Amino acid sequence: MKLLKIAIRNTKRNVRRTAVTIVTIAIGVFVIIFAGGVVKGFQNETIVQMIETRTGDIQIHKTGYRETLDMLPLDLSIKFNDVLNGVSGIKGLKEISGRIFFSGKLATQEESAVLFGKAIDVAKEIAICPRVKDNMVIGEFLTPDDKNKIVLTKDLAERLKINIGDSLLLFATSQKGAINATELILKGVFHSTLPDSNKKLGYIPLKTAQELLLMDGMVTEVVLKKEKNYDINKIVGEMKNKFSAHGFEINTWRELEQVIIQMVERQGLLSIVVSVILFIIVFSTVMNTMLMVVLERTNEIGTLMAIGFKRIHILTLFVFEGTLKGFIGGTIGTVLGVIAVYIVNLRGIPLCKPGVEGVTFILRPEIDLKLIILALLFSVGAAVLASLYPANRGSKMNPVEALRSV
Amino acid sequence: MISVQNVTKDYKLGKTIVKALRGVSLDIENGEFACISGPSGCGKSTLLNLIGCLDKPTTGKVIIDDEDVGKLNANQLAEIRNRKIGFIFQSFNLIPVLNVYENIEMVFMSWKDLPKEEMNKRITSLIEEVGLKDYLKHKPGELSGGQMQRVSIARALVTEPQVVLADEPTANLDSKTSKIILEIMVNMNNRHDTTFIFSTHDPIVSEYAKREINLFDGVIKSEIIEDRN
Repeated sequence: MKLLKIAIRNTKRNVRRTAVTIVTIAIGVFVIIFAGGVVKGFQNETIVQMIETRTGDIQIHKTGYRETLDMLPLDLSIKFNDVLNGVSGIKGLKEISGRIFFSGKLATQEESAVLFGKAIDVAKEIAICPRVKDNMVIGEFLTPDDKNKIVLTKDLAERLKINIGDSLLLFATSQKGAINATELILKGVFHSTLPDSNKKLGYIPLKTAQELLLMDGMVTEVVLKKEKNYDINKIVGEMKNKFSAHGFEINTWRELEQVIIQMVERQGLLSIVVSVILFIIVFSTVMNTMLMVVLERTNEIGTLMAIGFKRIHILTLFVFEGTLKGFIGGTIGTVLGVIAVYIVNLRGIPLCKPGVEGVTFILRPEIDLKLIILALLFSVGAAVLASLYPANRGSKMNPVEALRSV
Repeated sequence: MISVQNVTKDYKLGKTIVKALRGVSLDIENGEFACISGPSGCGKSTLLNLIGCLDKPTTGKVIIDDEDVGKLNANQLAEIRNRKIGFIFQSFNLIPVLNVYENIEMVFMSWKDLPKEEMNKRITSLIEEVGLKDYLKHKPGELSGGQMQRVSIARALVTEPQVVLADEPTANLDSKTSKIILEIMVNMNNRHDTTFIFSTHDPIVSEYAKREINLFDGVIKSEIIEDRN
């Protein structure tokens, strides 16, 4: 306790130098928390974007459907009402909807193009994936009353040289092999955030697709949204008990988009890289300061040794001093970092999606509790480690030589 | 009580070996008020450092309470310095961030066996004895040289050591203050029966000593023992 008291007083001896050290540590911790918050906000935005545009929380497919997804097989379809009845007793489900993925050909009088079609129950789809309608460039997204309307990607609309309100023909092969066609009116044009399907994607109402493909009451994919406070794994567990024996596969968004999840997790490495760089900066700053402190107080170390201080006392004294600076700097950095993340989270950072003009999304950095604890530990840890060498040097001084120094 | 037996001390200065002490032997009894005198560079400080367990002799022995301090490790030497020896320095060597009371209290860092009340009693009574009762909360920067040296004396005596070593205690003080400090030291020697060994090259200062050991070129040149009572 006496040593801590001396250490606290010693930090006030050279106020400017102590301030520089503390500010350096505070900046380091601030950057870690802020950069980490931005990365976490970006990760969350990517995942929410994915869930609310495409995957929903949970999906049900016929076993084997996902392996042959590239072929868009219609024969591996599901009777939607069977699923609806099956999940009726499961708690925590908010919404359920069916989708049909199919391939077809769009044609105008002059042009034609391949379509990667996604048929949706508009009202339910918007309830599950509300962001699906966010990226409109011209016109509007489908509404629940729409029939024989289509919404296309910008690329597809440009290739077909059509405008809002123009009609076009959609040809598709039904489940039983018959080629059917229907006339559709272009209602809107959107940007797809996924580069692969960007050129070919189009939405039509589920009913229209079911009539075209002769799939009354059938869907190829069931998508579900859960209530906020329910555990997704518990729901999926219950669903698996009910459905697995009947040839269904049930997956969470995490299982469905493993590539994106891995990419998101890799973004987390950025925080680690930033942390390591700042660790080195804080470490060298504290060590430099403490080496200077030990050098300046050599005579004092000699005095302390003469009056009976042991090496461990001298070592502890300087480690306390360094640690104190680390703790103060770390706390200031953490508080400022949390405030900054909180303010920026409220305001949001408007950003453009890559390759998309005019369409922005709001990035909201998030406070990461794990990172805060880590940053505090890191600042104190770096300070302790950085103080050890100068403190050890001080404690091993020869008392006579130390006393001789001016 | 303290026995210096044929002690030599060599220092390396680059490639040169400086022989600071060339064979010094002396015994110092309890309660002595002794002075080591001699010109600069004669080995006074070196001899005090060896007696104070701050350094070890190159050859020979320093025996304190029948213990050869040359055989002790750093922590054992620190323990002896803390319990048996008090130091008064030429430049006072107080810790600037601590006040008068705390500078003295600091010596008890590793004393677990002394009750806090007893510690407090010892500190305050010594502060009174050296005449700094009104300066308890003052930091060294707020004190004069003479006052700082009084704190230094109180710090040296608070552990009730067997010997107090003072390396040129009046060198940084004016003659009037020097006289006061020396009188305090004499009083303390009489009152507490603590052995005092101090070094000086000032003949006026050495006159206060009951025993004067005169060093020259690392050896004892002469010794005067007086009874001034």
